[in-house]
Amino acid sequence: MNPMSIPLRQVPPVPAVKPAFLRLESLYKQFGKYEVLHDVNFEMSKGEVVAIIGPSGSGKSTLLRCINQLEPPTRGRIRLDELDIDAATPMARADLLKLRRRIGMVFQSFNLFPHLTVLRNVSLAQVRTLGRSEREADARSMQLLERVGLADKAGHYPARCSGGQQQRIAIARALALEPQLMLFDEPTSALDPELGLEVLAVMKELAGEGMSMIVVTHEMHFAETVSDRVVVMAEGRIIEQGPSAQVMRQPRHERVSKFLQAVRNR
Amino acid sequence: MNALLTLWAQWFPELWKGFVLSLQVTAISLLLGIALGLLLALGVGARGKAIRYPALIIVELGRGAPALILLQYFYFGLPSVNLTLTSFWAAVLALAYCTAAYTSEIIRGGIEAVARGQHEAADVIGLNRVDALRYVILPQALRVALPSLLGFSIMMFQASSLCFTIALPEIVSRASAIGSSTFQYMPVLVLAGLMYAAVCAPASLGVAALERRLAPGVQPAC
Repeated sequence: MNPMSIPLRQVPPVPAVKPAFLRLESLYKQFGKYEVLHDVNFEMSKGEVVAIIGPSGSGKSTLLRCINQLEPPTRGRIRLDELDIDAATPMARADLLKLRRRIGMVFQSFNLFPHLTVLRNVSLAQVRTLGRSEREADARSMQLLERVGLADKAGHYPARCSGGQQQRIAIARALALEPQLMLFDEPTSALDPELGLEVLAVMKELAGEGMSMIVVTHEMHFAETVSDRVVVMAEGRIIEQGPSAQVMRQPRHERVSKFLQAVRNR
Repeated sequence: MNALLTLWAQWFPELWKGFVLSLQVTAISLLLGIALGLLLALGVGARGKAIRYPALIIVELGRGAPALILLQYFYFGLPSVNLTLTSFWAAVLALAYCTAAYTSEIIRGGIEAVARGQHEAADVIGLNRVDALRYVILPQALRVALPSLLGFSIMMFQASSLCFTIALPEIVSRASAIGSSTFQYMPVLVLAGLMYAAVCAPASLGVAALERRLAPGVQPAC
């Protein structure tokens, strides 16, 4: 008998365990006596898109801002790849810069630099942070602007662009550092629904390309269709998390279904 | 009228020398003073007390003391600690100190007017503190501060007339000398006043126009 023909026993495929690429361990944040984050534990793997939803004041934005240390957490630990940040030990400035270079952030109010042209907005950090030459940086910026469909605005000042365009420029600016993780803090909340759509389209494309993203949002459709996982927060805690479809369609907690109902009935 | 014009034509070359000197003293003290004012503004805004408190003391002393006292101090006071300055340098240093103290507050106001989100945006793109100031915060802050800085500069030009008290041969000193030798105080002082006004009035109008252009919400054209 041909040994090759012996049927091998079927071994069930081992589910690929992706190593956690970002991990938050019992994160706490206090503003004075007011506790904004309470024992938040969270992890995500590379390429994952996570939406954070929840009522206002539930700590969603603060959580995002703790990850890149815009708000240093009061207690807890953040690991991003090999970077290990413990809130208990003061962070070296060099580590902080290293962390920030790996994380891009997009704000609700865009925060473009009004005194610089669109091109300079995208190039500045490449020159100052990555040490690229102006020419190299500008060439790369043009690619990024093309990608968000705004190459023709390169020479304009941000004030001459619509809100949706400004937010897409802000995305290009964040991508210019080639971050491993993108944080979006309610990127469409300041925009008319129509302009929000163009921003969401860019984000969707980015997600499709495998960018790791955490998106604080009120766009339930985005949360459900684009993100892999949805995290629901309330009163500074994560009260539910799971695959998007499950959380959005069959939430386990009554609190969550009430919230979703309220948002959908708006 | 003709007689007056003849007198003025006769005095003008003398006063012109004083005018040039006044402009020189003002320009050098503004250059030094505004640069120092920027440093003091950053010092007062610093987190560390070791920098913040000394900067605060320097600013408050400079703003608290009248410019006349500062002039007297630099010219008549310092020689008692064996530091003798010419009237020119005493004037420059005294006015520079005065400028630094006042403009530091103007610049600090400009820095505080820059939105919080701009600092955060600079932080998240990984700029270090110096780059964030240089490329993001200061260009916006100085734009806010510019009309006030120019307005202050005009006042400093006028204040340079105080240098008359430390024997600097600027406009007022010369006018006064002409007055005491001819007893024509009124016409010579009017001419001196007109020379100040010839600079200050158009400059003030220019600053007002600039202020309207830089008003919040108005962005530079492409």
